[in-house]
Amino acid sequence: MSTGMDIPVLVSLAEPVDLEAEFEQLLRESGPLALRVAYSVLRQREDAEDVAQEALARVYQDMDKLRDRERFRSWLVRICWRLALNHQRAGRRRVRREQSAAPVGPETSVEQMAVNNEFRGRMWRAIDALPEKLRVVVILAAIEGYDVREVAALLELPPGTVKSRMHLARKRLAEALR
Amino acid sequence: MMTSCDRYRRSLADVAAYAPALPGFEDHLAECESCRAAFANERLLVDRIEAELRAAVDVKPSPEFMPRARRRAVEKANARRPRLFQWLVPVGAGAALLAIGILAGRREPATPSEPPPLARQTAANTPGPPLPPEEPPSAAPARKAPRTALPVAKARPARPVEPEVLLAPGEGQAFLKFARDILARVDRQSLLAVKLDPEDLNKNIEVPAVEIKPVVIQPIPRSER
Repeated sequence: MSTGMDIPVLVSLAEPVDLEAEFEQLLRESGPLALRVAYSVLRQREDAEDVAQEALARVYQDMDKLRDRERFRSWLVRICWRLALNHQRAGRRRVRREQSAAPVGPETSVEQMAVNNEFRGRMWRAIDALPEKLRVVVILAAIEGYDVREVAALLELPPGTVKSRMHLARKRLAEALR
Repeated sequence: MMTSCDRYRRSLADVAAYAPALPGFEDHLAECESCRAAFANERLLVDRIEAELRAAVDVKPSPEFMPRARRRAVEKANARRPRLFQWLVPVGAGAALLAIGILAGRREPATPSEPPPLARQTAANTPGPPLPPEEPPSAAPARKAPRTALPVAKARPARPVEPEVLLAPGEGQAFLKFARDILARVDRQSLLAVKLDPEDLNKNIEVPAVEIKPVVIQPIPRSER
């Protein structure tokens, strides 16, 4: 039966958690992941580090609210992806965006280097043109070594959905780069 | 008429992109050199894209990355901390004003020559001034108000009774209205002002018999909120 009055009662049932120790662990384990996610969107190291640090700081700020620690990484990835997109849309330092990071193989000649750079430029343009739900899958797949289950866990999607999105993204990229 | 090549060429791009193959696709590739070459090219392209992308995102954090992230997290957390308790300001202000109003109302007729009131019982005989309205969220007036509103407190030999009211955010106005309604219709001498020390919880306190009149709690009309 309702009395018509709300009596606020604050009860702390949670066991004390060492947030700083948890954050240290998060930094070690997921710091590089945050950086890679940000870099895949921004392709500029300084900006990517800035965005990843911001994402980690936000996670630290709200870490006590996250009950399910298993979802730590997916939470971080979501925050980082969103921040990177916002940063990209703001258009800051766009002109300084790098075309690519490390080359795939030894580039023996200037011509080969130019060809590879051209390919990478087209590849990134094709990736940027993908719908967001395909783009995030293809990028996380690259980060996680094309492990469908890992990507599914990060995106909190069924593995079948991730698999079909990966196929579609690969096909569209191949069409654009053929 | 559709040849087997036409049939499998359609799914060639899908299979090259690691989609499941149609039944008989593998057998067809083994027999058809043209389809085999097309598939190999397509698969090569898909694999190259994946390899390029994997290499491109394989960035390592700079040596400053971790220390900066740590510093930034701490700074951000420190900057936010005061906001966590911002809700206490209006609540505290409301509670303090309510306490002042009740005390001022009870003490107005009292003089220093009067005997101290009975323990934990008010000595007010006449109605006090109307309760002040709830203050806006500002910490300064709430802290200073008790000193200015209780000029006779030093002259009183007995320790003043200070009612404490803890309110949830946003319930200040509702509680003030509730308190005003009670003060308007009950005999003030019968009011008890109780301050509970945490130590009291372990003691057997003798509570005098009091008559609690029925209280009707009604929702505040929207126009009065």
